[in-house]
Amino acid sequence: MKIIVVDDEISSLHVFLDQIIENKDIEYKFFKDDLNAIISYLKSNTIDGAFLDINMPNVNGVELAKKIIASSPFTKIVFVTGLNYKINDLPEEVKKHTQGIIYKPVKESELERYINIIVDVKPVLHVKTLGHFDCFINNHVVKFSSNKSKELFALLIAMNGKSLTMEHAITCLWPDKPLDKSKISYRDAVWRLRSTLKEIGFPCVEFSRALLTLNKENIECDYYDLLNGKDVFYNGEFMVSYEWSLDYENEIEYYLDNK
Amino acid sequence: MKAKINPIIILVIDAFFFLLIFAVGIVSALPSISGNEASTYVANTITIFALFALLLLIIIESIAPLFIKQANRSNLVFMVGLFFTIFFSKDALNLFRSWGLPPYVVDGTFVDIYRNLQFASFMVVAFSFYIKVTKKYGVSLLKGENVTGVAVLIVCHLLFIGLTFADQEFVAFVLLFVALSYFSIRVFYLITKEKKQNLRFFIYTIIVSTLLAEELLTPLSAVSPTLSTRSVLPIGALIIFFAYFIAYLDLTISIQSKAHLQEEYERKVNELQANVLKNQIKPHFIFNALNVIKTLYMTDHEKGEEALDLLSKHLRMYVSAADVYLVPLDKELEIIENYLELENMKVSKPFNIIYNIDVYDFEVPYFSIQPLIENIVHYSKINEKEDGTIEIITYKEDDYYFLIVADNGVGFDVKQIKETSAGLKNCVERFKILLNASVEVTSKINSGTRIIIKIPIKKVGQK
Repeated sequence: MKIIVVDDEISSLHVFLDQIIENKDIEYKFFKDDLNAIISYLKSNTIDGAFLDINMPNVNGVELAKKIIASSPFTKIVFVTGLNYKINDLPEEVKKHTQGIIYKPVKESELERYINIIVDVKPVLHVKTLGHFDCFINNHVVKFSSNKSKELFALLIAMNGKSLTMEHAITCLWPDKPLDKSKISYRDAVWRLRSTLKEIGFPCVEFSRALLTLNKENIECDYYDLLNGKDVFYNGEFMVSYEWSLDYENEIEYYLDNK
Repeated sequence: MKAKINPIIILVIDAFFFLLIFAVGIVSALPSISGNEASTYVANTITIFALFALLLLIIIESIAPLFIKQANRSNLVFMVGLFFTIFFSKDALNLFRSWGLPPYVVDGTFVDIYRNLQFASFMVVAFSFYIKVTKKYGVSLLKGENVTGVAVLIVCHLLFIGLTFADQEFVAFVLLFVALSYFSIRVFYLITKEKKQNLRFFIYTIIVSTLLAEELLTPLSAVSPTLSTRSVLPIGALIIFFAYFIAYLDLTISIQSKAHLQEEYERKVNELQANVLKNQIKPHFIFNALNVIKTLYMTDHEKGEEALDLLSKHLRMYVSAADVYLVPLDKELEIIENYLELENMKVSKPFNIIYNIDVYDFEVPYFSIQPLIENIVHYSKINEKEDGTIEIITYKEDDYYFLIVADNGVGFDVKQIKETSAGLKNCVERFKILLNASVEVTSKINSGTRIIIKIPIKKVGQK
């Protein structure tokens, strides 16, 4: 896989070097904002992705993108900028080829995300349930904004794609709280979960009024693997931090005994 | 009592009796029937019966709105006007005659006054109809318009009454012109303001103007025999045409003033928007944050990196605040989440916030809620309280989105509004001017503060 990185400031290169060296399959070439050099490189090389700065003295990043698209329409463009550019601010012909915008200072997880997009690797959410519950995406652990929103997601995972009603969620997560207070806590947890999923770019939950449904696509989960008959080591612990997981633990035991 | 009286059914019943009287009037005027005593008797009986029923209905309809929970004043006026129109109509005279009223009451000068009063009540009906229609189509009446309109109509009418005794042809014609054209102008306003309703209102205007002309000529023909019914159409048409011309001029002026209002509105919005940055950029906030980041980097690189990301995100969202007016709610809450995470890095006990979000498909001014939260963070001392919490509540009720920002901190004296910073005033102003929202602040010392923002839900087609 070949990518090019264009930025008028050399320091931006270091971020990419760290990341890229880890992945041996990627061949990269760094350019300053020298239009002619870039175009002549494109003529003799097919590049899969281009990371472009926008504000450069010699050539504007968006204009550069137009030229790259003209000569190599299959190249995926990712803008890397310190400005508050939005995808919708881009002209239509550039928007079509743009995968996204990374904001400086560059977050490693964001970079990882776009490199995966360029390599055509779909983002996968790795969910660990046997033992403690945790989620990983782009090699980074998912940080939930509150314990309850994490627990809510855990419950959704445990329900294996079945829709979760508000009533059932409240029964599991806030068994001792009065109904009116727990409804507020429910809304808070739902909002935080939605926010977190949006932030990691993995909108796998459908949020409708008082009903949440998980889309299991692109989720790799040890619990699902176990249920599908794969050989997974189970030591009797399923989402240990949560009280309601006991029911699921019993179910797993029963399933394994009867296999 | 909240009665659900369907006004259309009422009007249909009224119309039925009206048409009955009208039909009987026409039929009894036919040569084959007018001579016949028996059929005249039948016609009179039917007319009297219909009139009586109508009078009764209108009395009930006039009083009924008083018992409905939300009495609609224009409906009341409409019904009362209709009542008096019937009461003073020439057919009602027959009714009273049949009850044995002495002849001098039903003849001569009294008849003229009587008919003029009918004209007055007819104008009241027409005017209240106009108000109903303008309310329905959302045409805003200028402040003084109601009073002016009624005043002009009353003055015109008093002059007409005086005219009955005055016997001056020219004055009569002028007053006819004034009354007719004034009313036509007003209806013309409706046509041109509601482009889609063009044809319908045009027809309404023709009908109303013609009816008016007919009504006006009854007392007028008593004054001047040359103004007969046969000349009503050309005269009326001429007057209507002239009235439209004046209305067109009037409209051109109002379009210009509308453009001026639009300009004023835009200027105010831009001023508020420019002040967003002016009021919000606090260098000490940035330096404090950088200090925290520096400290964190010495002990925990990862935490330092996190804090740096948060500050960058905050600054980035800040910088675009000058050109973005409205954002969806979840975008604004993203700013708040980010801001609080940043604040949490500076304090030992993190700020507790609850997102009680029931509805989020609406927009708020950009960077309008964040300053409210910042205010809570700085002044409410909720972190000193054991169960100190910030709560953001949204829900939909009737035709409004409710957005409430609440805390259970120290509160403040609402009367001392001078303490409110220019930044907060700017947020409140933007809510009011961009979304037509209402903002209410209640606060109780040691109990907490509640900012209730009520945003009307935009109906499809409204600007």
